[in-house]
Amino acid sequence: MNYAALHFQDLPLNCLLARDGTPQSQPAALLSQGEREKSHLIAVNQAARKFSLSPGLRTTRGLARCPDLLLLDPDPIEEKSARREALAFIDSLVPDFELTTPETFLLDLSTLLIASESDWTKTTIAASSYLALPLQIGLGKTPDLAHLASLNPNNNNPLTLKIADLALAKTFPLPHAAVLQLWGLQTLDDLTQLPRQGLAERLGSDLAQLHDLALGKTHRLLKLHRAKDHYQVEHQFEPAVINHEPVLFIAKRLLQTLCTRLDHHQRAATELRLHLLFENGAAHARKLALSEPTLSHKVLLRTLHTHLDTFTAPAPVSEFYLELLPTLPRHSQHQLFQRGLKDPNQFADTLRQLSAIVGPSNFGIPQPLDTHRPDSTTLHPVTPDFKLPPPQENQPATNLPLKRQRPPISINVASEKRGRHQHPLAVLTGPHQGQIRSVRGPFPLSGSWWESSWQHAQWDIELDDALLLQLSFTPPRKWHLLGIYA
Amino acid sequence: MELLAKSSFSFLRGSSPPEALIERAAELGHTSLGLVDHMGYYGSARAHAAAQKYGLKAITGATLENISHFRALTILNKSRLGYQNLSRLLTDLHCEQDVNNFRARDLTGTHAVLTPDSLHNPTKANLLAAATALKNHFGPGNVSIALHRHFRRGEEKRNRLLHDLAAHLDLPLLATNSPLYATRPDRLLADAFTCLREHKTLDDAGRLLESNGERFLKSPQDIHSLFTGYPQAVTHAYALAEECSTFSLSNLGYRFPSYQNPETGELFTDREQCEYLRHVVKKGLATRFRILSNKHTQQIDEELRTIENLGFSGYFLIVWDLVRFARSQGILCQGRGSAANSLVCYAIGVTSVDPVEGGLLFERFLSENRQSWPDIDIDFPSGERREAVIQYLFKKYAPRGAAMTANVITYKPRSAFREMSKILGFPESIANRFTDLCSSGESSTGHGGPTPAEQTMALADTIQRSGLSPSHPRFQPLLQLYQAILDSPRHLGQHSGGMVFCDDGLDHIVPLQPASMENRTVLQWDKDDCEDLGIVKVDLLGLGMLAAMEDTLRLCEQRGHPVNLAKISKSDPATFDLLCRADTVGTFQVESRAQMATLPIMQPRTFYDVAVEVAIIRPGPIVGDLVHPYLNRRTGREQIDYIHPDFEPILKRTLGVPLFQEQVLRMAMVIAGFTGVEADFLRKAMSFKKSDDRMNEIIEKLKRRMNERRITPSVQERVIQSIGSFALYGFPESHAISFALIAYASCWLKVHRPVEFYCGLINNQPMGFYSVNTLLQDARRHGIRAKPVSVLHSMVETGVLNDATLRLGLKRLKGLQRQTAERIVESRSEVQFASLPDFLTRVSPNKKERRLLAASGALNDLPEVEHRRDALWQAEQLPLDDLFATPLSPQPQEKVLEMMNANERLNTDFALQGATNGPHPMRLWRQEQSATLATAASLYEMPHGKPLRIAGLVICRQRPGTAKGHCFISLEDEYGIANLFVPRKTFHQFKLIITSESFLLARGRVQITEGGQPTVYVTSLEPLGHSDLATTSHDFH
Repeated sequence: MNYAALHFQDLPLNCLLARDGTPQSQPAALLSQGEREKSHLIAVNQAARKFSLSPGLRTTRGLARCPDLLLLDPDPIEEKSARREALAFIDSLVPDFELTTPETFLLDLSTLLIASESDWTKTTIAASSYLALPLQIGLGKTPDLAHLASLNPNNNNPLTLKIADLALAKTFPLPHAAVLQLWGLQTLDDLTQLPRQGLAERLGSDLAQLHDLALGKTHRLLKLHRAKDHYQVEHQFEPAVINHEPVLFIAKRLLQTLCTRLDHHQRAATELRLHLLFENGAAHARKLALSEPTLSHKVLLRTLHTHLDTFTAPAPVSEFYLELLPTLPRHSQHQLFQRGLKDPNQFADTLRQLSAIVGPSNFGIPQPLDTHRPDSTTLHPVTPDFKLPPPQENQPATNLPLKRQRPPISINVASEKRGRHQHPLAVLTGPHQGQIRSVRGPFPLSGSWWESSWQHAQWDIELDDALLLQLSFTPPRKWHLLGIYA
Repeated sequence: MELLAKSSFSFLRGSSPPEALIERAAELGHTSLGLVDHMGYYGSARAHAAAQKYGLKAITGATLENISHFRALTILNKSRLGYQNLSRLLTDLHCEQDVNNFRARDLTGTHAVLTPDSLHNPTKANLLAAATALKNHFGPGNVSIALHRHFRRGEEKRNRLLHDLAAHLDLPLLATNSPLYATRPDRLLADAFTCLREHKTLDDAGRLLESNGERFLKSPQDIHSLFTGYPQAVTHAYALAEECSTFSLSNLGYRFPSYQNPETGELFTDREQCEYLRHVVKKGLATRFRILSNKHTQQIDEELRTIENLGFSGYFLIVWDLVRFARSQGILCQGRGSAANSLVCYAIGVTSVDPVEGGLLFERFLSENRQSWPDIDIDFPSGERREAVIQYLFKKYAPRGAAMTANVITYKPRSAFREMSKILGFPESIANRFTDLCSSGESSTGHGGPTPAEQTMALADTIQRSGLSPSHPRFQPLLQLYQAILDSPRHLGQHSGGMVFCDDGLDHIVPLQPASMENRTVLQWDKDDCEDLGIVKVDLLGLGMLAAMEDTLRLCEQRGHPVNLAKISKSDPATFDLLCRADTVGTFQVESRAQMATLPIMQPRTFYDVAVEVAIIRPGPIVGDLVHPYLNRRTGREQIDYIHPDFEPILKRTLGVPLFQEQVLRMAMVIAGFTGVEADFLRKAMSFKKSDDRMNEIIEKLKRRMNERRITPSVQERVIQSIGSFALYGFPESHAISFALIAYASCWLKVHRPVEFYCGLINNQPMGFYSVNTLLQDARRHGIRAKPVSVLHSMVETGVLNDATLRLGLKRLKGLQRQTAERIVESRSEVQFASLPDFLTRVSPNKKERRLLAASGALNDLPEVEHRRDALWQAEQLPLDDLFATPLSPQPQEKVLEMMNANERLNTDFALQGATNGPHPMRLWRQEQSATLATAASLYEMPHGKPLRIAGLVICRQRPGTAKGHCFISLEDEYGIANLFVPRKTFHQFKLIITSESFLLARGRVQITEGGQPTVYVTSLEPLGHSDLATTSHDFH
């Protein structure tokens, strides 16, 4: 046999069982995302299959058939990690292999000297035991036969593979599985018994190809897997360093290397990822997005420098790691009438420095909130993709500009209750005091009654000295000076 | 004198019901209230009824949206003419797509109000243009400019502008708060409605919400002080209110249509209608009775006199005409409800019950003491045949002379919780959990209950169990909003059969709008509103069983032994034998599990027993704990007790147990001295289910009267308990008798014309309690077999071959288009199909249909087709379109596929037809398994308490709210149906298995219940094989 297919059965489910140390004898299933009440099973292990459970079954029905069924939610991170480990394992077996599906690898065995196929299979399964993932190995004279054999949980014969299992695996084009089921075909062997011509005439060329494939009449080439290029470097300090100059010194050299590597692959950096390890075991990770893809190590170093300037290390730095996220370089010529920044990265750097000085929570683009609560704003982070929202409809009640007090000044006001509202009579404390000559209001405002309810009544007042003020009254007795009409 | 209020019938705009607005207005000292709901008079009928109660004047009007450059234009009615004109305009706006302005409309008698929110862009120039346009169209005295003071910044500036505008055009100002809710706290729901309307959460709604809670109904004093600077606006509001109050819905001008002289085509006068009705009745009596007894003559004279005195002759003629039309089209129909109390209805063919023979009271139907129109409900075969009758009426009274009554869809617990939790930003899973808890009946929805405080506590508990902690800051808002929105109108639906008609256009009585169904219109009031305003409704209801019976009768006639249902014996021993042994699968009303369990105890032997049986198994009597007393008394196990000696004449027929609504009313008259009008109010309160208030009010009155008459507390309690249970599901005796008639007829047909009966049932599915598969199994137990669907022999519908054989119709195949089925029948009508290629060539079914026909075995009868898979293989390839080929001759084919085994055929049958005419799945299971299980038939031979195991197909799961959490399952096997009783604890233990598996194996013991019926008391359950069959069952209805 020239090819082997290694199939990690139900990897998304089994990797979770391996993580938790759950024995394979425990019936388990993965749940679909969304509402649990309407969920269904998306993967089941061998133990669960013994209870007639299969993917697609409603969860309630699954639990009815197997009350001890362990239900798990998919964990993409764990799944990714398991796939990475599986890939590393395969990489250690043969130089040439194909990543056929996320769970199946096709290995070219022609470069290996294998005395006994069964011994090799046993050895490989034993070697994979550290992964704690159920592994099925199929051998075949063609890649597809090996693949089909690996999907057959019962034996290594591709022809005894059930058509239902093949349809479920979704790895081979099987457009008429329901028709084949109606025809009473159980296995691939049943399919091969049908006349190829008749099959093709009825169900099309896909089925004819499967017919050929099952009989080993086609032999395709493997799409060999090659590891991606990495734009990452790391450096360890011995001894650990206590300020950032040595880090920057080393980083400069490393960034030069990375930029050269990017340049060779006609790529540019769009993000700089920094990971610092400290002597006390603590770590610091940060993704520094670049305003514009760049190949300039100086720009990258300046970005890194600004970040390190704003950061206080909890302990001496023992190790650091840099990674550049590649993207296609942007080629554009600055136009005469084009409005924009000549050097977005420099601008971003300036903003970063400002943020470091005033603190991230005090830095951003103020945006009025969509609420009746006056003077409510939020700070939108300064990001390159920030777009100015459409202006809010505003019809000022008066043409006079209001000079706002931020925050409003707490004042004492002499008042009396008229109807439901406290009417101001005189301002007793605060920067502007005096008898109130005339008032306009109240303008009661309230909102957010469903969580943190607020309410107050605003008043426009005119003092004896003709000064126009805006006051607010918050029950039961708080008065604030909100602003002065200029 | 608030003129511009909007109620919750503005659908997601106002948050208080009209009744609450009126009540609050009365509390605040208003003398009138104007309701200007969005695009209609939706809430005006209710406002009118409430206004009469509180002594206010309800002013009508509406707010029109997007008309003639106005964002919203408010119009008030000053007279009936104005009301009618606005009603027509509203109808046009709803029904005609190209109507979007009022300029060409006659709006005489109306008054337009330009409000600050009327325009999209209320600039000075736009306001001037709009006000000028209104003044020109409506006339100077019929336009006002409204001022608002909602305490918003900028409001005064705009008011000054409006003031100047009014002065410039010499138009009056109108002081109004334009309330959206009755009291300040109702603002919460108004905000919630804004979110629902705008599809936002409260967090995202921002300034779409009101800036404060000032849009509530304010007192006249508040309005005075609010508009201190504009006294003329307040004065004008009073004057306008006075002017508009001259019209109310009491003088709506509705008149029931007169009957048309069949000879001249002119409308009859009242006198002529009376004479004509007498003529029709006389003719009808002659066909109904050979000799008329004195009792009958006396009764008919009395009825006709009452009808004439009340002026209802035209109504009876129109109903008679309707029934006559149906009969002329071969459409079976029968009146039900209180009409069955009338001999006139019997004579003119509306009902089929002789009320004199049945001892029914005409006064229950019609009385000169009661100024309400008679209520005639007529059952028609559901589907196309009922629609034909409805369309007949639409055409007869066209244009716009007929409409369906509305059905106000309100927020029910599940929808209320789902919507409110959504706008508060809670995840959907909480609402799902709440729904599940409500569905299982394990939790309170805060709807009904002992006291409001207890309701709230129970509701809070349910919400907590749905996954929301009471400490969550939004827990209380959710609770409040849920309670506030419950029962609020959500949208307008269409009543299932209530129709209203009018000679000269309904659209001047109430606005009409298109219904969701084609060629139908619906009016903006529901049936109760119509009844309150004296608008006459006729209910044309659809009944699946009538359709099935109609088909059965047609088949009987075709086969040469016609049946006249009016003449079948009402004391047929064979029919009563069938009822006594509960062999009632497929029949009307007496086929449910509960009915079948009661029949052997009841042992019905007369027609009246059937009426009692129909009435006895209903939620009302069960809630009232009255079923067992009746049965116990009937079997002599319990003494007859009349609650009070005065009740003996009333309750004698039902052995002292109040089973019928009429009995309850008469009990109230006897024990509490209720007058006919009060008893009628009680009947309405029991039937409406719309408002607990009505019921509470009448119960209080009843208690008071009984106290006055020194009735002992224990008797009082029993009387109130009887009425309380009937309030949930009142069931009049006449209604029971009408239903019993159909139930008896269906049983008679099952006994005497079984093959036609099963055929009729199968052709009218889905209906009733059981699936086609259960009906086929039942037919088999009665010696009737069904032949499979065949393209050579089947018609579109299932047909009868002989007394013991049915041929399933092509319609049974799920996914076969009707046109294809018709093409098959039509193609072979001249020349039969010679081969499969010939069939495929002439019928041209699509690929999916080819597979369907082949897999179901419908092609098996064609030459050269050996079995289903052979047909599948052959039909997958279309014959070549060869000019020189001879497609009619069968070509020998290579046999490449194995034939299906019995299990595969069974699976395919269920998947493609939902039923099998082959062996029962349990028979196949038994052949494969060595386990010995009890069968449904063997239960009858087992002693009480014997342990057993039994398995079968689940055809029914029920867990009625009155069963204290216990569950009832019906298991079908090849021998019959076994009833399983699953105690509450066992149900919880095996809940998942019970609810999700279609085949069950149960362990337990036999219980022989009353009437010798065996039931399996279940101790444990497990799933059986066959579990992936596409079966259907009647679950938790």
